[in-house]
Amino acid sequence: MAYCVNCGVELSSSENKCPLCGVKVYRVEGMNKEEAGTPLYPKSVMNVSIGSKELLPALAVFFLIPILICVICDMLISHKLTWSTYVICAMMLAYVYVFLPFVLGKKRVKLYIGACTFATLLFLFFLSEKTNSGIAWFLEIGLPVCLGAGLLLIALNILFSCFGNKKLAKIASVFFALGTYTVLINVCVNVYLKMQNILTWSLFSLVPCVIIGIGLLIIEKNTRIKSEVKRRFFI
Amino acid sequence: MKKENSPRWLRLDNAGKIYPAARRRSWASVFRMSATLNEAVDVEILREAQKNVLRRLNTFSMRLKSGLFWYYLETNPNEPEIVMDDAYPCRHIDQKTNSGFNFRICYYENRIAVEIYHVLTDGTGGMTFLKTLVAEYLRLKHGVQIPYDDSILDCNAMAKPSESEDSFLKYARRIATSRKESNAYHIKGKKEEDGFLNLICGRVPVDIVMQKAKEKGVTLTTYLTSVLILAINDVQERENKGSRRRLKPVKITVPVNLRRFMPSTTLRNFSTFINPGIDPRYGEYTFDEVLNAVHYFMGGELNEKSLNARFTGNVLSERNPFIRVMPLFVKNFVMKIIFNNFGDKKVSSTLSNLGKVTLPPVMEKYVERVEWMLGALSENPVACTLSTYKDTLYINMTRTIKEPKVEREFFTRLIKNGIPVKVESNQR
Repeated sequence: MAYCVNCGVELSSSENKCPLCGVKVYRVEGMNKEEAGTPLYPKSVMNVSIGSKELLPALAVFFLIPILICVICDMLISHKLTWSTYVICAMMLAYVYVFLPFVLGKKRVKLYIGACTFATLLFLFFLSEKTNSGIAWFLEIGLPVCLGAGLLLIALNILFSCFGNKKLAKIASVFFALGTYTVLINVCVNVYLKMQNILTWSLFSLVPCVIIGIGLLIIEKNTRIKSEVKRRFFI
Repeated sequence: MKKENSPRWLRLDNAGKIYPAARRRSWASVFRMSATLNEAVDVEILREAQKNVLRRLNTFSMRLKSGLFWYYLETNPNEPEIVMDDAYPCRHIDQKTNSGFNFRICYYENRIAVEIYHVLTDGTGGMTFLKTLVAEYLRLKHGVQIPYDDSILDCNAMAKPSESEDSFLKYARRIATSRKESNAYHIKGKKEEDGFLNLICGRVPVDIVMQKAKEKGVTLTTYLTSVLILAINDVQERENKGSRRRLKPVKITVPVNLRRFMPSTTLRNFSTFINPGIDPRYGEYTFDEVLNAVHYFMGGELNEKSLNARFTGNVLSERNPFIRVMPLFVKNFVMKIIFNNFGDKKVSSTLSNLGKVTLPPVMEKYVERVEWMLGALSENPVACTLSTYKDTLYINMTRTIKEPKVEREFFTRLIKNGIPVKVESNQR
């Protein structure tokens, strides 16, 4: 008989390692060895599916119904695709936002953000083309604001995984991201409106965001201040 | 038993109604009971035994169908396949690929096992099925004269109507208890993505556990429930790194066989559950404090009146005219929501004790071990089952996550309490 040196449980002769902690079974040389017992279950696996994500395709098909209804109505009334293209494109965008996480799984967050940004850009481009409002607002506002949001979210995702348990550092990075994003919006709008000063109102949000962010980082770094703050501001 | 006498269709029993409605990819609601003989299993004889057993226990051979308003069970003329065990116990039972049956009989070396979809029966009914199957197998193989009783049925006798009754409807009264309860802590871990169910079977000398429980003045179930509560709480505390405010109550579902409290002989579902537990936010619990909490909780709940009021709520819902006229797909949706909010969410794990399994001496000399296990639960990744056969207590812990942290905590706690444990597993 063998015992796990770590957990203290007796191990069945079929076990090569302790199922509780994974430590290899230690069998003393020269001692009368037990014959390896039959494993509790065979190692073979039947080729039986364990069920599939049947709800997802069903839902995906279900949401095609409003698209089809709109297309049919549009074709019946105007004999070509006019307003229904808005519905089609908006639904496509919704598909990317809603169904993509199920396809990609929980781990591919960056890919999901990238795909959503790309889909949103395509949608905005479609709107600028369809509404005949010119490509200028798309290039000067839509594209940078959307791309900036995507990049900032990816950066935050990377920072969050780097910071681990450092909650204050995570909050600080959100403040920095918010400050940067308001500046980006401000610059884009002012450039589009051809204003003289490209930085105006965003300074009022950037400065507090940066100050709060730096403050939080200092508190996170310095354990003495951290405990002092905890002591004075506990609720 | 002639086939014409068997019911052609049956309504699902009150507890069974929830399973097809709330079933999902990760929750098969399947349990497994097995008997290990002292010789290799002869499949041909097992097939013959299965045929005879299904003639007697006709409710087990029924297939699940959906009506306009409710699911129902209908006679299935097919013959089920007997399959060899593979690495994955308690897989989904898919009627379409299983000739319409909601159970499967498996064999491996010396072991005969039955995996049953909970829609058909509960642990007691499942054990009757297994014992009758093994008895019939031994009768055919060795000509053993079996002394039949309530748990080993004579396959040549007629099925009794009381065996297929819905005892919930028969015994329910008019007043129900509230289902309101706080949500409990859920064990976290990395999911086995391919649906693999990890099993660790701990074998313990039952007299030592009984003695330890007796020393504390509690029952075996109370003793082991308390150990499991503390094991789960330790895992929770380690995850939260000492922050007591963020802890959640640790509660364990303990199924209760209602046949012990009401004179029912049904072979369908007739069990309810109670949820003893602790709230670690109040402070650190010692083992004795947990034992006390569980002991007195069980003392207050384990009586005919409280248990009756527990399942009466479900029966009243079933009888509600508004619910009855809802089409099945609406009912499924509603039941799923109710189950998601009142089911596994309220507890951290399950500990189900089937009690002492006894066989007549003529069978006992051929059967080496009898045990059972629960398949994956809906929300909680770890489940624990207990059964005692001969002098051994079989503690089967199944889990759907990779890390055996609760099992390790549980078994090492038993060892620290002076109870020797021998473990085996289906680890890959």
